[in-house]
Parts: sequence; structure tokens; C-alpha cells
Amino acid sequence: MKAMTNVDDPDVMLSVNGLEITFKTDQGDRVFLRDVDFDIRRGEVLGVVGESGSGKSITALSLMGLLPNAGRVTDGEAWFKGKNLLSMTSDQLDEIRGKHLAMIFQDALTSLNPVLTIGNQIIEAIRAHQDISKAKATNLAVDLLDRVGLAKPKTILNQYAHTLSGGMRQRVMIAIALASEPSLIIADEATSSLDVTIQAQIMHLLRELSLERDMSVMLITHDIGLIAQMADRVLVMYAGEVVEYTDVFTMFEAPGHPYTRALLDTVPSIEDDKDRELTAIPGVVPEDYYAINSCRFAGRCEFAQQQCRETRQVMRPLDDCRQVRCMRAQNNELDFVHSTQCEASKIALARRKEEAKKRLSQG
Amino acid sequence: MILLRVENLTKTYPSPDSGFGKRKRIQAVTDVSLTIDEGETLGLVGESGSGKSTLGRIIVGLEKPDSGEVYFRGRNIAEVKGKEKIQLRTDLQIVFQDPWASLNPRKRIYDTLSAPMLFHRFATKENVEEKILDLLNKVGLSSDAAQRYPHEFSGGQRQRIGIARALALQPKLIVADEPVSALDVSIRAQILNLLDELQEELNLTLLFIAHGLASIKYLSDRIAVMYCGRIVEIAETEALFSNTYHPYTKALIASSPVPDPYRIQEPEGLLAGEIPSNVDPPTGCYFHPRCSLAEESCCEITPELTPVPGDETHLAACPITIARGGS
Amino acid sequence: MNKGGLLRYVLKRLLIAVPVLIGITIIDYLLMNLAGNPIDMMIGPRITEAAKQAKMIELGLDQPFLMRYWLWLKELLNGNMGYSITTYQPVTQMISQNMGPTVLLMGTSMLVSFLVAIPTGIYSALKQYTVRDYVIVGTSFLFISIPGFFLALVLVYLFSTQLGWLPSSGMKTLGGSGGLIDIIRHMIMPVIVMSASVTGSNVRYIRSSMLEILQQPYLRTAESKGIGRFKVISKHAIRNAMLPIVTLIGLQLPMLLGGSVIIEQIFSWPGLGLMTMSAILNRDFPVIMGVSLLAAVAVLMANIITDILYAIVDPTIRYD
Repeated sequence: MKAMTNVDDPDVMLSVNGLEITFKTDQGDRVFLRDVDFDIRRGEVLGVVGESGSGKSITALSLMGLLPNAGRVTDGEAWFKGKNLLSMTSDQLDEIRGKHLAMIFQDALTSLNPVLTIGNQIIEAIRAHQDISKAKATNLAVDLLDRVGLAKPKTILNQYAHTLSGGMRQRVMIAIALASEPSLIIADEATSSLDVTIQAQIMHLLRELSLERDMSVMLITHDIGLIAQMADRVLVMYAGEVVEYTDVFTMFEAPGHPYTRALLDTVPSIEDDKDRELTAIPGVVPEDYYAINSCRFAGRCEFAQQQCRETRQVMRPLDDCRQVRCMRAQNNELDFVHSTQCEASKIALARRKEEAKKRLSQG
Repeated sequence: MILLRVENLTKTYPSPDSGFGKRKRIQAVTDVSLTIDEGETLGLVGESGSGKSTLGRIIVGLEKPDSGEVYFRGRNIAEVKGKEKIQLRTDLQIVFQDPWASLNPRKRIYDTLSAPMLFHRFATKENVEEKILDLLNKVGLSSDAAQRYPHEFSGGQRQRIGIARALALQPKLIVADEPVSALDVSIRAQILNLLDELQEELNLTLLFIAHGLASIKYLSDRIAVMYCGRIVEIAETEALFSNTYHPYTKALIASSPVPDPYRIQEPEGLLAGEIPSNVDPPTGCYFHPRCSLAEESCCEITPELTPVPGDETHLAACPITIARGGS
Repeated sequence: MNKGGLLRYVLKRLLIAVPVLIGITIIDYLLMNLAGNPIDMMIGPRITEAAKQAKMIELGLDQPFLMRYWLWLKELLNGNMGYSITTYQPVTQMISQNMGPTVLLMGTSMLVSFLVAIPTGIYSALKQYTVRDYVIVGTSFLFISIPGFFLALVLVYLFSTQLGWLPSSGMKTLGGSGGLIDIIRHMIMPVIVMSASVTGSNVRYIRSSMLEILQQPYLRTAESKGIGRFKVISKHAIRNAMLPIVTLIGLQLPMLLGGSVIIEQIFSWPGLGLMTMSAILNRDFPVIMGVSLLAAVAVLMANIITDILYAIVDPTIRYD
């Protein structure tokens, strides 16, 4: 199944086709991720939402060449700047990562080297891809720290990770990622361990940076609230597969896949009124999900029928703005809104971006 | 009827950075007072350093406060002794956050549940098995769960076991300390709904502690917002959201991402700055360095919780917004 | 680095060290008194009781326990550790004569041990699950299990008796002119024996510490910057390996003075080990006390040095 846009489209930063990842375990090889297609356009925020076992993290790690030893890519391509990331050696990847492609991780405390100063780690990122003197790099580092909203950047250069707060550390990680002006940043649950007010600050910062530099962001999270706030398009993942690929407005107004709908019904919101009932999704992700060759959500789906449990499900478009992996939805057996939603979504997306740009220029 | 009353609770811990000279202390909870009515769910919300977990643990008797009292059914729990004290322990129970760490991995569920029941004579050797099956049923687990070990269950199931354990001694008040934070999003509703049902069925009183406003709103009748060890606002759930007074509460609400792409967070509503340290909190109102409404007096006087105009049950620790009649 | 905090920490440790030292000496003295009376070691069947008593008074052994201890402590603070009951030499002189060779032997062994163990342990961790790793781990096991004296005897047999390449005992060739090469030739075998088993366990320890470090998320961050695999290991990983290595050094530092009695015996190495052994067998109180005190001071100083090294190497434990 091809991604929605053309690989040669200059607006497409990253195009992933047929990604499959296998892990070596004590019980043999397990295919933990398969059949993943998506692309990311310039300046766009792609939200990747999923829970544990969905495969969202390993997708990101595979793009960066950072899969743990036990994991390897067994199929698929990831086209970035005219090259296939997945066929490159570690040395070849070193030219790209940190420079055009950067990643920020969940726990900034363990993701920063405890025995090196912050300055050391930022300057290293800068000089890895730019041939400049240490003094120049230091100035750049100060600018970066300032840009990510840290007060007293010069002092922070000499400090160590453990003396900073969680929010500050995450800002440092962003500064490191920005060091060589990448075109795509992957944020893997970057704010999950932060307090809500700090998370909002960090997300706002990311949004600003994306607009300012026309930088794409792959935002990986389990929080659909964040997705609503930040993402332009969304990849919904479940048990090692993509189950829905759509834009954010459509996702919330007219989700196509039963899992997405179920998620929306099960997550509380501060805007709920008193009578809102949370519909719990029964059951859990099956333990041997990687071995299931039919619909992996069938065990918990209220619409599941026999055919769902027997046939392998594939991604197909429902209309201009949605692709889902659900045969019943594809066969029009579930009720949902059609193409008019796509138009409304396009407009809403464009308007949102306009307003954000306006706000940015007003400062 | 008031089941639990807490008065001027203060709890501090020694700070790990103490060297020579003045020993600094972490002010975990400072001068907290509140009441919980029988049968209600009080939500306690706050970020790191707010003291909400510490408060929960003091209420349930796991920690002793430096000063202040906890009254359960009118009795000061620090003064209760002997049989009454043991009875008290069964009346106040807690469900912990981490479903992986709170169950003994070497004991079967049966043993974990039966031990306290037998000790407190809530069951005899003859009927304990029946009671355990009944409990497991109540929390939505099948009867064969009793013979298994914790590692054989998923996170959500373990949390159910934790709830079963809390229910085993037929408590009057359960403190649920972040019961769903460590669970996958798709299972949280299962546990939240379970707590809701059990509360109705057994007429439980619940102190629900969390950092996520959305789930707090869902379950709670009243909500107390904590910041840096103090309560800054407390009100009935509706009122807290529709008529917010304290600037911190407002910021908290503004920062919680709403799952609706048409409702974008206004950057102006977001807070700047860091959460202050509990060792050296700011003077006066702890929130004043980050508050857009702060005035001179705010760095001098620490505000008390006072009722807002028109609603006795709604208290806020911000004289500025109260004087204004809103924020 | 917070120099002020570090200084205060060091002073604090030194201050606490004093009462600890005193406590050690008291306990030491108590224990030794239970072991017996040195006079009994020196008399033959023909010495009369009176003569024995006289000798005891002369050596001050007739006073009550606390008095003896107090007298000894006074002398100590004056720099006098007493005289050996068997050789009548000043204890301080005996110790200083024998300390040199022991420190030389142990110091060289420690150095060799770390020079071998550090790169080997790190390499082994980097190549986990390969044949080379298994070989290294297996060999370490071997070295740990071979008893020192056995290895010593094997080496002596091979290199002294059969091949005649190396001298089998002493520190210098008797009647020879001495000199560095001569000492080195004498040192080779004892050093090998001394460092063999220690190196074995050091390799294992460094390897497992390194394995843990290789799991850490910050290495992933480093790699994501595109700095290259080599730099990830050499800069980020190894810097963190310093900490467990410092731990090891700290634990083994006291060995510098302790020496090994058995090895010194086998190779007739004129060190503290031999001296202490004889003193113990002869119930030579002053010498034993002198050596115990030395050992206690060595351990305390090693701990303080280790703590200082930690604070230098690991920023997360600097003190306010």
C-alpha cells in the first residue's frame, strides 16, 4: 500500500513504505511491526498515537538507525532527501542524523550523559556537522539555549543534567536536536514524564520552532489531547500496525477505525459535562499480537464479526482524507461521515496554521 | 456527615542536600486543612511537589505529620490506641500507583488477599476462599485469578487486584493514589468506571489523587488543587471549572490538552517559569513569581483559603481574584 | 566543581577518622591480649618463674590493661611505636625497612592488574556474545581459581629450575651490585602471581559495569547526534566507566600495605607480610599493634582518596 503522496514531491520530507521490523527473542524471531506506510511533509506535524506495544517507538528508532541489537528492519524503505535510510550503514547514517534528522527522547535525565556538562553535549552536537571553532560553537550553544527558553544560558553550559529540572532538561534536549537545523525532529513521548504546565510550555515551543523554521515534527504520544493540539495529520497505531491514517480534524470528527472511535470514547476531557460516560474498551492487547494475521483489534471491537477474525486486514482509503485498516469500514458497513468532512478538515487545518503563523509574527 | 477532617497538617522531610550548618527541609505539605463527607469523592490534583501523595499517605496513616491533626469520625487518629487503632487501619485503605511494585511477586493472589482478612477476622479459614472469590468477582476478575502470581497479569488486572486488596477489609475511606497513571490509555476507563461503581455499590468514600485534571473531573464531586504543599483552591467540580478563581487553577486548566482540535490552547494562558523547589519556596504566596496578577502584597503575605463571593463551599487562596469576584 | 564543598567533605572525613582510629586500636589491643602472653614464646623449660616475672616487669607487661594501653598510646603520639619484643628493634624502623619492598611489589602488581584489566574488560563488554568475549571470561575464571601458591610454584619450577631465566627468591641477587634490572628480574614472578587472580576478578567487574553502561539511554542520544560509533564509546561510555573503576581501585588500595604473606614467603620477598607473620606467631605485641595501626590508617586514607576521586569523576555526587 503506497503512502498518500508522491515520493518525488519536493514537499515530502520523509516517505516510509512497507516498514517491517523483526526482533530476536528467546522464543525466536517476532515481527513486532509490519506494513507501515506514511509520509511527512515539510513543516507538518505528524502525530503518531498508540499505546504500549503499538510499535510507535520502534518505528522512530528504525528511522534513526537506533534499534536495539535484538531488532532489525526486515522490509520496507524510508526515503529521506533522496536516500533510503533503512539501507544505510551506521557510518552513512551519521551524516544524516543530528544534521537533517534529530530525535528527542522521553526521559531527559537518563538521555543526557550524567558526567559531561550540558555545554559539552550541545557543542558536540554542533561540531559534529559543522566545521567551526569551539568558541563559535559555544556562542551558538548559548543562542540555542536561549531560543529554547532557558534563562541564564551561559550558566547552564557548565552545569550537569541532574541539577536541572525535568522541563529544563527537555529544553536542553530540544536545543541539542536543533543544533544543526534539522528538517525533521522526532519527539518520542518527549513530555510524558513532565508536569502538565511544563508540558504545555514545551509543546508550545515545539510548535513555534516548527512554524519558524518550516521544520517537520513526528510527534509520538499516547495522549490524544496532545494530538488534537499539535498534530496536522495523524497515524493511529495498534499492536504493531497502522490502523488509521488521516488528518487531525477528521480523526476527531469522523474517525474511520473502530479503535480510534473507541479511544475517543474512552478518554476523559476537562471539557466534558457531568453526564459524560467513559466507555471502557474491554480486554487488553493480546499477548501474541505479532502472530495474529487477521484483525488484531477484533478481540475488543464492538463491531467485530467472523470475517474480521479470519481475513488479513489491509489499509485502504475511505475517502480523500482517511485510510483505515478495517474491512467492515471499507465495505461501508459502519456508519460514518463521508467526503464533506474532508473539505471541512482542509479548511480548518489551513485556518489553524494561519492563526498560528499570525500569532508567531506578533510575538 | 463529615467522615474525615484534616486540620493544619504540615509535613517536612530532611533534604538530601544538607551539609554543615542549617539543615534544610523539604516542605512537602504545609498547613493543609480539609474535610471529606461520607460517600463523596474528593479529587486531589497537583503537579510534582504539590504534596498530594504525601497528604494521601498521612491520611491513611502511612506517615505521621510534623504538626496538625487527622480526625476520622471525630477521633484523632494519632491518639487512638489498641483495638480501636487496629479497627482504624481497616477503615482507611489505599490503592497505590504502581501496579507492578505494589504486589508481592512471590505470593499468589489468594495469599495476598487472605492474609489481612484472616488477621483481622473478616473471614475464617472456612469462608475465606468464598470471600476472596466474591472480591475478585467484584473487581471484574475471574475466580482462577486467585491461584496465580502477579506476573501473570497485565497492568490493568494488577490494579484491579490492588483495589480488591483495598476492599478486602471493608474500609470506609479509600485513598486512590494515581491509580491509573501507570496504565495504558485504553484501560484507564475500565479502572475509573470500576472505582465509580464500587463507590456507589459499597457507599465508599474516595480520595482520588491524580495529576490529570480530566480524570479527576470525571470521578470527583469536589476537587482540591494543590501547589507546592498548599491547597490553593477547593470547590465542587462544576464550580471549579465554570467559576475558577485561583490563577494557578486557571493555568492548570489552560495547560491540560483538550482532545478537540477546534479548541487550541491559548499560549497566553500558559504558565511561564518552573515549579518552585519545596526546599526554598517563594515568600508570601508560593505562586506569585509565575502569576500574571501578582501585586506587592503577594510576595509578603501567604494567603489563606477564603470563601469566594456567593459560594461558601468554594474556597480560594487568592485575595486578588476574590476581591474582583472572579479572574 | 564545588571546591568549597569538597574541602569541607574531606575535612569532615578526616575528623571522623580520628575516633575511628582510636576505636580500632582499642579493639585490636583487646583482641591480642586474648591471644596470649609473649613471654611464653621466649622461655624455655629451665627459666624460673621469678625470672619470667622480672622479664615481664621489664617489658611493662605486668600493668593492668588500661594502663598499658594508655602508655602505649602516649608513646605512639610521640612517634614511638615501641620495640619488638623478639628483636628489640624499634617497631617504626622495622616497618619502614619492610614497607618499601611490599609497596613496590603490591604497587607494581596493582598497576599491571589495572593496565591489563581495564582494556580487557571494556573490550570484552563491547564484544559480548562473541567467541572473544567467552575466551576472556573463561580465562578470567581460570586466573581467579588458580591458587596463588600453586601458580607460584609452577612458575618457579618452569622459569627458575628448568629454564634458569629468573631468580626464584629474594629481591636482589646476593652479593650482587643490585640495580634496577636486577630487582625487576626478581619481581617478575611474584608480580605475575600477585596480579593474576586480582586481574581475573577486575576484568569480570569492569566488564559487567561496562555492559550496564552500554544499556544506558544517553548512549542512544549520543549516537543520534551522528558523532560516530567510536566516539560514542570512547567519549560517552568510557567516561562513565571511570566510576566503577575508581571503586575497584579504592577497594584494592589497602592491599598496597597489606601485602601477601604467602607470596612473600614463597619468594622470600623481604616485606611486611613476612614480618607480620612472625610477629603474630611470636605474640610480638608492639609489632602487631604497629602493623594494625598502619593497616587501619591505610584503609581510612584509601577510603578518603576514593571518595575524593569519586567526587572528581562523578558530578552527581558533589556536595553542597
